[in-house]
Amino acid sequence: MTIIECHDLTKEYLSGENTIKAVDHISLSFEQGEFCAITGPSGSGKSTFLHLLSSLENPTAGCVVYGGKKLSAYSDNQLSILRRRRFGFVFQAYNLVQELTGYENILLPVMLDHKTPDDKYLNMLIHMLGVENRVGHLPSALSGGQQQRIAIARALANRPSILFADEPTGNLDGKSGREVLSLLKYVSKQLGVTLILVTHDLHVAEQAERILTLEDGRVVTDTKSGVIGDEA
Amino acid sequence: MKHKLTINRLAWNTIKHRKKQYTVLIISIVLAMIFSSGVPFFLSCMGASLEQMQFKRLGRQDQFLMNAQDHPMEQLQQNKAVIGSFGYLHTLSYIWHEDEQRGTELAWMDERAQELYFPQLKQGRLPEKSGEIAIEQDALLRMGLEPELGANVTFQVRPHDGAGHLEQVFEKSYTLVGVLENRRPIYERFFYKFGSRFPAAFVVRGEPTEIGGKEAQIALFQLDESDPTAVNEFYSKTKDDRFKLNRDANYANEAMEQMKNGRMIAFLSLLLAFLTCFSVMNAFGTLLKERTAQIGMMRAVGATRRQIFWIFGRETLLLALISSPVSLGISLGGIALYARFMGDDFVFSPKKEVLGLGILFGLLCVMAAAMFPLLSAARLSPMQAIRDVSLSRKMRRGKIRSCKTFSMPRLLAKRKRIFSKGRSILVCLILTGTTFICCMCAVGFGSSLKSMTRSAGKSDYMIYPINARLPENSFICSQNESFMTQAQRLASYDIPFVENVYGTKELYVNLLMNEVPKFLRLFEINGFGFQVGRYETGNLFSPENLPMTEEKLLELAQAQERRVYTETKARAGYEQEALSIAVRSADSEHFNTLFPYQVVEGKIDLDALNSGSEILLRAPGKIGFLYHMEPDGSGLSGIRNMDPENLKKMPGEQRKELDYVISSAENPFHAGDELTLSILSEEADGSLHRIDRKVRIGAIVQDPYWETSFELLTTNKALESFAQDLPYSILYVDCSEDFSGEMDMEMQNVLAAEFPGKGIVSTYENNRSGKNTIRQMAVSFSSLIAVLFAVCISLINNGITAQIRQDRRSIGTLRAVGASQREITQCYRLQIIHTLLWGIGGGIVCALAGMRVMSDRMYFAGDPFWMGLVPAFALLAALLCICLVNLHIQVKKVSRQSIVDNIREL
Repeated sequence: MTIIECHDLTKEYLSGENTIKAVDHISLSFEQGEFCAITGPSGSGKSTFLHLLSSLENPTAGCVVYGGKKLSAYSDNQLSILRRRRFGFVFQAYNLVQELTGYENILLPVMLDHKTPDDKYLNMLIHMLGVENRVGHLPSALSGGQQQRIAIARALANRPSILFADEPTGNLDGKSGREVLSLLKYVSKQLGVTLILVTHDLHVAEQAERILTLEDGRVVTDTKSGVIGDEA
Repeated sequence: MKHKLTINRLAWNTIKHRKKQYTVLIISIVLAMIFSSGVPFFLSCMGASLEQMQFKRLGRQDQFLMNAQDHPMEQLQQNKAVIGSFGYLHTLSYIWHEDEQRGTELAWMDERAQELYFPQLKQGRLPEKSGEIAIEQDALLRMGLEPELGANVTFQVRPHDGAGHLEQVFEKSYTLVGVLENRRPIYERFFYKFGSRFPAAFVVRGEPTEIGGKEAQIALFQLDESDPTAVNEFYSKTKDDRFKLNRDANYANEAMEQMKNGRMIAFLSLLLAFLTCFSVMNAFGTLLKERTAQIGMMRAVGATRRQIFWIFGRETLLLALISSPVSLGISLGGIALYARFMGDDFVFSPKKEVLGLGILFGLLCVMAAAMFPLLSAARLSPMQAIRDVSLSRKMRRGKIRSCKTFSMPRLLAKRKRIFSKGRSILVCLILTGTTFICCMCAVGFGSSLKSMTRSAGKSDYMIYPINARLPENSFICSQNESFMTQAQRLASYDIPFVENVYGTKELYVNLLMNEVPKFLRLFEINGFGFQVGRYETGNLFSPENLPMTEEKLLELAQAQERRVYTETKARAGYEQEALSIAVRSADSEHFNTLFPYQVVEGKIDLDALNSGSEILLRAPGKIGFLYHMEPDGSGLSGIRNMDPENLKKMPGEQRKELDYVISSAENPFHAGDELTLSILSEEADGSLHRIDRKVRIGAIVQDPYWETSFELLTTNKALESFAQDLPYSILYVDCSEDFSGEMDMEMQNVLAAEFPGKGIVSTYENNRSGKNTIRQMAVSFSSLIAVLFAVCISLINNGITAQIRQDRRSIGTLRAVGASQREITQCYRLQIIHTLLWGIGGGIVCALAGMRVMSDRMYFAGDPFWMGLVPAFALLAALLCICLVNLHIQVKKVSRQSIVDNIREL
C-alpha cells in the first residue's frame, strides 16, 4: 500500500544568476513498511529530495501526497501536526534541543501533541536503543552515538508512519554507525514504520529493500534489492 | 593572492559576509554612540546656552564702575593687568516725554562698550547718525510712547553736569530707529542702588553734551582675578561705586537652577550611554557565542588569545567607525531639537573640538562595552569553544532533572532562563534601574509641578499695605486704615488690561473659652506668629528664668500682667477667657485659589461658610514649643509643627531643632466643634458693643508647607455679617489675555498710582518664567523618559532578535518535530513576560522604597506617589506590546524560512 508519493517533484535554487535544479521532476511512491535508501554522489539532491518528501521544504514544482492528500494543501499548523504525529526525523547532526534532557527530547513530539506519554512504549524504545543510563543528561553531555540514539527514539516516540533519516550515520564512526543503522532497521521493522534513509555510503544503502540512486536531481536507478539486512 | 591578509581585512570581510548577524550589534552600537556622544554635546549646549542667556540678559562685562569719569580706568589699572577689556557708556542727559518721573538717562556707547554691553535689538537698529535714538521697550512704555520706528519724538532734556543734572531743561526731537530689549529693569532688579542711573536710551556714538553739561561715564569692564592682591588694590580705589554682575546672588541662583537641570540631564545621558553599552555587550556577546566554534577553530590552528581579541575587537572598532556619522548625526539632531524645544535662549553650535570629543567618547564607550565579551571569548580554550560544555556545567549547577510530562513552551522558557541566568539578571537589573529612574523622575516632576503650580498662576499682580500696623487693642475690632477699600478695588477695573480684581479681608475676633488649652497657650506665648508683644511686662526668657522648662513656661505665661486684656475683658463683660484670633476671608469663587490648603478633617462647604454657620480652622495637628540658648547669647525659640505626617517631611536640619522642644500639645479642636466668637466694637460714647456668634468648625485645614498658623478662614460674605464694609488686606489683579510682558513695568507704575502708599508685587514675570520652567521641565522629563523607554525597548528587542537568531537551529528542530509557530512564540513570550515582571516589579519596589526614604527626608508637594507608578505601568505596557509584536515578527521571519534553512549551519 502506498503511503507517500510524489509527482514531478522539482526544487530549484538560485545561486547568483544561475538556477540550480537540486531535484528535477521526480515522481515516485513508497510503500508502507518499506526500507528505502536514497543514495548518490554529493550534490545529487538526495537530502533535498528527502526534505521535500518530509515537508521540511517546499517544492518549486510538483507535489507530495500523503494519505491521499497533497502536502501543499495543508496549512502550516496542519503540517506541524502531521510532522509530530505521522513523521519522524533523524538528522546527520542529531539536532537535539540543547536545553532539554535526553528523555525530554524523546518526549517532545508526545508533549507537543498534548498526549499522555506511553511509558511502557517509551521505555521499550529507550531499552531497544540502549540509552537507559544516559536519558537524564543534556545533549552536550552525550557522545555522538548516544545523541543519535536519542534522536531515533524521539523520531519514533509518537509511533510515526514514516521515518525520514538524513545521513544518520554520517557523523559517527564505523562501529557506532553500524549500531545506529541496525537499530533503525530493527526498530522500524518492529514498529512497522516506513524508513526512508539518505546515505552516500553504499554499504549502508545495500541493507535497504529498495535503493534509489540520484544524479543531478534525477532518479537514475530504482532497484528493489530483496536483500533484507541483518536484524539487530 | 591579490591582497595581503591583515586583521583589518579579515574583520572587514567578516562584517561584509555576516551583515544580518551584525544588524543587532550595529543598532546597539549606534544607540550607544548616540547617547555617549550626546553627553559632551549636551554639556556644550548647556554651557553655550547659559553663556548666551547671561550675555543677552546682562551683557558680556564682568563689572560696572559708576562715575568712571572720576576714576579713569587707565589710572586704576596702573600697569597691573587686573582689567581685561573696558569701554564707557557716556551718559549725556536725563530725558522724558511728558512726566519727568517717567524718564531715562540718555547715553552713547563707545565701540568696546557696545561689544561688552551687548545690546539686544527687539526692532530696528542702533542709531547711526545724529538725531536718531534707540530706546528700551520698558522705557518707551514708561514714557507713554508707542514703539513705532521712524516716529519723530520730542523729549524734554536735562543735561548731566558730571555729578548730577543741570537745572536747565530744553526740548529736543529724535527719530526712533530702534527698540531695545529691556536691560535697565534687570539691573534695577538686581542692583536697585544704581538702577535709576543706568541709561535706557542711546544715541549715536560721539554725540556731544549740550551746552553747559558734562557727561558722566559708566565703565564696563572684564576683570582678571588671577592676582587677588591686585584685585583688592583695585577695589580699594574704586570705593563703592562698582558692582559685579556675575557675583550677584539672584543671577547666580538662576544660573545654578539652569546648571542643575543641565547637569542632571548630562548625568542621565551618561546613564543612558551606560545602559546602551549593556546592549552592545549583550549583542556582542550573542554574536561571539554564535561564533564560538569559529573561535575554537582559530585557537586550534594557532591563533593566540591576543589575536582573537584583536580580530573581533577590530570588527567592533570598524563597526563603531562606520556607525559614527549616523550616530553623530542623530545625536547632534536630537540635541538641536531639544535646544529648539527649550526656547530661544538655548543655542547649540558645537565647535570642532566638541565634535571630536563626542566621537572619541562614543568610540570609547562602545569599545569598553565590547571589552568584556571579547575578553571572555579570548579566554576560551580551543576544546571549550569547539564543543560547548557550558550547558553541561550549568546543568550540573542547576541540578536539572528530566520532567515526565511537560508543556514544551513552559519547560523550554524555564530552561532558557536557567541557562542564561546571567543575562536575564542583567536585563532585569537594567529594567529595574530604568523603572526606578522613570518613577523617581515622575515623582520629582510631579512634586515640582505641584509646587510651581501652587506658587505661580494665582494672579498677575498683588497689592498689599506697606507698614500695616496692628491695632493697639487687638480685642476690639477696628478698621485698618492701611488696607485697600472696596471703592479702590472697583476703580482699578478702569485700568486697561485689568480683568479681575479680588482679595482677602481680615478681622480679629475673640475666641471665648472656659479655659485656654495648652495648644493655644503655646501659640499665645509665641505671639500667634505675628502678635509679638502680647505680654506687656517682662521677658519670659530673661536670664533669671533660665533654664526654661515646660512648667515654668506655662506658669510664667499665666502670671504675666496683661492690663489691656484684663481691662477689655471687664469692659466687655466676658466671663470666659478670650483669645484674639485672626479671621481671614476670600470671595467664594476665589476661595480655593487664595486658600489652597489641604483638608485634614471634615469638609469645606462654601454655602455653610457663606451662611456663617460654619468656619474653617487652619491649624497644625500638633505643635512643639522649642527654646534653646547658646552660651554666646544666640539661640532660637518658637513653634514647630510636630504633626507626625509633617515630621516625616521635615528636613534633617529642622528635625535636629526638635531636640530643644520643651513643651508640646495636640490640637484639641475637631471638625464639628462649636466655637464662640465675639466681636467688640467701640461706640462713639466709648462703650463697647459686643456681638457673640456660635459657629461650627466645618473643617480643619493645613498648609502643606509645615503649617504653624492658627487662624480661622471663611468667605467675604460671611465676614461682612460680623462687620460691614471691611477693607481688603490684600488685592490680587488678573490681566486679560492680550496683556504682554513688555507692559509689566508700566502696569506696576499705573497700579502704584492707583494705590498710593501700597506695595505692588508683579507676579506676572514670575508666572511667565514659572510656566516657562514648567514647559522646560516637562520637555526635559518627558524626553528623558521617552529616551529611557526607547533604550529599554531597543535593549530588549535587540536581545530578542539576537536570541532568536541564535536559536534558529533549535527553532528548526522544534518545527521538525511538530512544534507550531504559536508554541514557539509562546516559549519566548513567557521569557519576556517573566523578565519584564521581575525587572519592572523590582523597579516599582525600589521606587516605592525610594519614595518612602525621600518622603521621610524631604518635602513633597501634595501626594505625587501615584504619579511615580504611572511611568512604571506605562513602561510595562509599552515594552510588553512592542516586544510581543517584535517577537511575533521575528518568529514569523524564522518560520517563513524552510525548516532546513533553520537547521542548516550559518
